[in-house]
Amino acid sequence: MEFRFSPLSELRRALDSGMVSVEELAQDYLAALKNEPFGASLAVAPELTLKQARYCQNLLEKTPPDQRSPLLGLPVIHKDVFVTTGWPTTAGSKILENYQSPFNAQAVDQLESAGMVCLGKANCDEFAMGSTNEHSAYKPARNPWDTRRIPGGSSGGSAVAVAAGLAPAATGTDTGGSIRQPAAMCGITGIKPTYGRVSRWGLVAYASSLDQAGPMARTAQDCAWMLSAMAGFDPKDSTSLNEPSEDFARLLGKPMTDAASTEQPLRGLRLGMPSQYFSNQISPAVAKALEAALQVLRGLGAETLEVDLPRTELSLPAYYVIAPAEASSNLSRFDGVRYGHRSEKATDLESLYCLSRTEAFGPEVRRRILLGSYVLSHGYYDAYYLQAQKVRRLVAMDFDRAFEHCDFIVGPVSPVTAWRLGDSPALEAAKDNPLLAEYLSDVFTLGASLSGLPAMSMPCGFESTAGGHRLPVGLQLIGPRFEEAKMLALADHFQLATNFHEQTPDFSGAQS
Amino acid sequence: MSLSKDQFDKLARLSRLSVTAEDHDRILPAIDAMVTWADTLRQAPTQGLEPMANPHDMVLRLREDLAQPLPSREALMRNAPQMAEGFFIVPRVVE
Repeated sequence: MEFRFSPLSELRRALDSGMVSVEELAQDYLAALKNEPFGASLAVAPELTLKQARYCQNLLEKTPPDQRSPLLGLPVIHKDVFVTTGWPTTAGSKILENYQSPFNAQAVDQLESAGMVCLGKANCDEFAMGSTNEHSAYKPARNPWDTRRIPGGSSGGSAVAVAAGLAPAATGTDTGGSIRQPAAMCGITGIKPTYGRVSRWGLVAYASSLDQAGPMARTAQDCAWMLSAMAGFDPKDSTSLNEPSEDFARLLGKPMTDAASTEQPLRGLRLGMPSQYFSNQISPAVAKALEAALQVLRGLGAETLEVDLPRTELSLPAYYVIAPAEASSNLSRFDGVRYGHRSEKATDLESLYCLSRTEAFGPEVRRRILLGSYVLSHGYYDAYYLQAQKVRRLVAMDFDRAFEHCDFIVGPVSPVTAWRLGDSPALEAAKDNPLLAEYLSDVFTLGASLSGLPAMSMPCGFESTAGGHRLPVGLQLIGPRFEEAKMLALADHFQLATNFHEQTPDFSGAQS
Repeated sequence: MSLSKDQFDKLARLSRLSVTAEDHDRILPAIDAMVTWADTLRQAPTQGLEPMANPHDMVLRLREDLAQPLPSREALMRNAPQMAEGFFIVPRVVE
């Protein structure tokens, strides 16, 4: 298939020139999704996809090229926490097996209005709880760069679909790093916008004060196009930001400061390197790729300086108190009465609740519900839950202070590259506490989540393994709130100067 | 271990989850490790700080008290495991 690894911008040109039709493009990706060996998707419905494609082709033919939405006719796969009327929505959980939503998520509707054609639903960790996609109740997703390894999570299926050329773009959600970390591990680009930018209406809730949706695609430009369509005020979401609509692609390709030039488009831009992020916590391979990427950014004119985020480590327990607390409350709606799994062994109402939930929630979800109940229970609420919310404020204050000295923060996304399925990340910090290893790997993504800041991941290098595989490394950018357009422009300049984002995995051996 | 089996069983009751002997062996130690981890939060200097419930310190917005169009009752109840005549069916509550 000619276009399988093309960014949206190239597909746009192919559609506009008539080289390919919307339906042909959709058919090509549907064919790639059929029998794919990566566990990327949970639901496809070709006749629905092709119906959308025919509608968009018709619209495309009736609309002059300069009046077309940039996304018109381009395919997308949605993470299975976005509810959809056409495709079942499970959130990766058995408790929602075969659930058919009576409405679409707001972001799904907005992307459809912008002309995107839905290919289906992408695999994810159950209720977006996890950093490996191994907590999906249906199947793990596999990293296309080495199928014995995890793709990251929780938006693992979304990242795999884009990286393996099964979809040119995907949606994801990010509560503690769930867009950025799988994007990094699969070698694609993904952005979590400022909290409240994209409506949470129709996202299966995990931790509502942290959940934020965003795009995952091949380039920063593709993400800018998609984010422009996804973002916007929604009165149906009580925490939606009442900000005007934005064209997040408006700064792409432009000099970033008054001091900048064509050769040095980043001159005058100050990039903060938190000492806590460039520590012995990151693996040598990640450190090496980051240093090379920083050299590229310096070559483009950016100045790098050290900044301090002293509460980086404390953001871990703060997050793992707040998120489970909110999850235990959000997931109380699953009671086996109105929708979802109902136990057949129940004899009374109490056992109906207990058995339905126990039978259909996976171990990671039960673990987080129990922990959430603990930190919210009488006698512990102040010591854990309120204290975690106070530490959350300290974390946010650290970022405010850092942004007095720099325009953006740069650092790793994950301390290590993708690890083997069934394994744990090899972290120094996890040696004393192997039970927490997966959580500890979130150390660099949680700060932006707790602070509600926009943050993104883009490919910046590879680690070569002894087994002959190349494993992608991601560079994280964190910006002040509402600075997505500038952050995407920075990422775009980096991608114009490098070709990490254009690399594709060699999975000929894995293809069925 | 700071979390006893009794406390764990009480949490399960509060969470409307049943726990098995296997859960005592696998989930309890994990939660205990997380609670011990959460104890490190107490070291943080948080005197005088307000808890942060929303990252923008936004006050929850209420919508106007107006009727909204909703999907049909049939569509909303389509996923019910058991229903009859427009009602959800549950095990007998009152004898």
